[in-house]
Amino acid sequence: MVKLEKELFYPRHVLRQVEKPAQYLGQEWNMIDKSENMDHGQDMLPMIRFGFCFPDLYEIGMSNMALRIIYNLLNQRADVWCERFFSPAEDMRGFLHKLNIPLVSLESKTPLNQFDIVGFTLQYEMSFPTILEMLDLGEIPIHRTKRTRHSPIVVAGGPIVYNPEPLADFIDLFLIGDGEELLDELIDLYKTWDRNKESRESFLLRCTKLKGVYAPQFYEFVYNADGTIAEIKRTNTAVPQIIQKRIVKDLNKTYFPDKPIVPNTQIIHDRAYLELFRGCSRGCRFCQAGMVYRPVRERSVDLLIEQAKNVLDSTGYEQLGLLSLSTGDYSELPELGERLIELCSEQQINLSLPSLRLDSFSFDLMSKASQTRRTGLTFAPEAGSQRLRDIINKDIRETDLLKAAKIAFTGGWHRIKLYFMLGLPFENEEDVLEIAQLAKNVLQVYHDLPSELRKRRPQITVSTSFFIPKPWTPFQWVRQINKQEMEEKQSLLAENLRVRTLDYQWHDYELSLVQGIIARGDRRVGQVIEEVWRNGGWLESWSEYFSYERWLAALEKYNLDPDFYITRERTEAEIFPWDHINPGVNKSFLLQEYKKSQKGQLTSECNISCNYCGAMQYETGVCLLHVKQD
Amino acid sequence: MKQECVFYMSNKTNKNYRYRLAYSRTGAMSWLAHLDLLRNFQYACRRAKLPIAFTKGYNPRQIMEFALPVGVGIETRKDPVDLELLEKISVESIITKLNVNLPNGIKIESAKYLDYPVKSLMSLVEAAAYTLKTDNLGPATEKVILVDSELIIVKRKRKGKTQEYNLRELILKVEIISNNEVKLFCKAGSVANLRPDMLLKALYERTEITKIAALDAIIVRDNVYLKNGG
Repeated sequence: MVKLEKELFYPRHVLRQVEKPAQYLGQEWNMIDKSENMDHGQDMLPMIRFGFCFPDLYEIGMSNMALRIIYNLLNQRADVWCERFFSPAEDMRGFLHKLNIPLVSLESKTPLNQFDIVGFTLQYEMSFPTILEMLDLGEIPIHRTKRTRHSPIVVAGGPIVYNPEPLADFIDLFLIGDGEELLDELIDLYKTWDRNKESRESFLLRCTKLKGVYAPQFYEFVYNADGTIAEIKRTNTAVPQIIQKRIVKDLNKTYFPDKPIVPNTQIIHDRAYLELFRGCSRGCRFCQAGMVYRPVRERSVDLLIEQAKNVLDSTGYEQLGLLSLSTGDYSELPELGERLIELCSEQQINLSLPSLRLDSFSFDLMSKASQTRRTGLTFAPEAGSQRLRDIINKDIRETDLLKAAKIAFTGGWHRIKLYFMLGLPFENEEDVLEIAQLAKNVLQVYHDLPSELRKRRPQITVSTSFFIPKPWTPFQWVRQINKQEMEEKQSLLAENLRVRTLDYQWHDYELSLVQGIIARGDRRVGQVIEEVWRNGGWLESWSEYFSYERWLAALEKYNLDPDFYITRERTEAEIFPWDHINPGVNKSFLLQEYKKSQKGQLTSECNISCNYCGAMQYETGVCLLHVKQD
Repeated sequence: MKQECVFYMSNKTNKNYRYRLAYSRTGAMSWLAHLDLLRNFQYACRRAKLPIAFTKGYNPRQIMEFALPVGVGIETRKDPVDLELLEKISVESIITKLNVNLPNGIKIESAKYLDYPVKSLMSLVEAAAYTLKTDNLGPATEKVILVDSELIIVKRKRKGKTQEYNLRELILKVEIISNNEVKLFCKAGSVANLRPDMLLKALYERTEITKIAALDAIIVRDNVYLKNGG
């Protein structure tokens, strides 16, 4: 091994040859350094070392809210030091391999394999090969079965943990649901484990006693001849048959990071964030987050204002963002908006207001917030036709959208982005053409304005992505369209959008296909992820590293048919790879929603009436409205 | 719908108060790119709750000006940076407030109030002093710069174009301190500027110093010299 710099860890010639070396060095403002608590020998209590791993580059991972929460939450405990790990970029990875340097933490530069618990956050499917790369660089066996008594316990959680199976070979414990309380309990339990006296298996088994913990080694899958699942079998009766999601009941009492780390290099969303609420009451049928984060739980306005002040004070950020699934649905938005605008104008802070509703109140708020600059607006009708919007339960009417466009153009916004999905269930050619028509109608709104209001040429962008059926949604049964259909739909739309002031942006369809395979993948897909990684695949969410052929070859090697995962319509009776997990909503509710979608029936928002999805078992948030009434 | 918006307050007083600070950077902080260093300073000013002056117009920015951008991997000892405030406050208070709000490794070493402020600190820069340290740097520098007399042409790619520099024209003075330490005085600023990594490149291309040893060098900018003493 080369001589390592004491302060920098990496040799200077490495730092001089990689891009953005500061991303590997830590020492950011608000970083937590507990090294002094570590060096005092025997009279100190042992420190539990927790390695928080984000399976992507620093510039992506550092904007993540889960990281900000978990990092600061764990470090509040005197007996835990949580440190960060990110994927190195390609240039740095080359040097790590060449110089035989393991993946180390940003804080103390400790190798990953020396941590007690290593936790990965699962944000998007395409990051899975990067998890293997990070484990390997960190010198931890990628297979959970190969780990020894001294290996770290490898855990994973996050928004897409609700189908954990594609990663079941690599992760010791999945943490289902909100991590705040569960991680605390896991660490307490970990402290009772004496590695020299109790086996790893026995400890993992004890962990399954914590509600929300899924240890895949105690479950087995039995398959039918056609490849579908016959049974999900427990190999040990001490583990739960169904693993229930954990939630934080009261967001006003839970931890919020007042002192997030301020990165040293530019990251994608370099700003302070407020989390207004968790969950979403809308019930769009394609949306996984809208289903698995139920019920809606809000923070109070007073608390949010206090948190905004504290975060801005402790970071010095010039920008404040609001983070929630559908910010415009926050029940006290008028008051919050007014007070945030006041706070931000006092301190010269940019306020970004995402995902507001299409009503005049929202425009009022935006006009107040933005006295000087009118940048782009994004509307997400998701589907072009009313028929299809009813199918997906997206309650936007074309008249509302055109009215909103009119307010926007008269108010001085001239850049409008319209976001749609292609390949939604029951979509036909007509629906695709209606996307183009809707965009043209928005443009027409502009042309119908009196000339004194038409000072700037409008810029209208239509952006489409491909619909990917996700577990735990009413569309988990449907087929995903294949490559040929994707090409056809995309070119049909492109042909009909050839207007000078209309711009069309689209997504890569090969990436959407692979994402579809992993999203609804079973345990066998794990071998495919491993094979892709062994053949050089990692950072697969970056189009320059993604290779569709590599995925096809890996599927073929293990005799798995992509169409089994992508284009196959599932029967009502099919057992899904994720049926032993329960995020609160019941499969029967989802099926009922699927059937309603086929008839084009809408389902009301859950703050209006209860639809009995199952989330009421948590007895909190929006569900309490109905408990009281019933 | 997404909407980004900006607030700014008009500066009601007409006069800003300009201060010239000298900062050092060491350790991890010397690996920040110049723009990232600037952002760190801006955030620190906000955390310190200094009465920051902003530029006017649609895109108000904090008024802050560095004398000379600093390359990635270069430490500084007393690089000048100018800052404008809306109120006159003591230099001691500025130094203390900023130093508790800057990350470890960036430090304000001194500050003074400018009675006759000149805009464009950059245009005042004339020269800079560097200390370079790496194995066998002394003899190599002596050979290339002091013994040989030919031109030292270094090629550098910038924005797709290859530019050639004659380093000899940019070097004012070289002192060989020891076998592995050299002090360098050179032209700096917007007209003619020597980048120490270009010198190191010239050395590993012409002497026995390996590329790795050259890239392993510690580079410290000891001083930046301004016209009329700044």
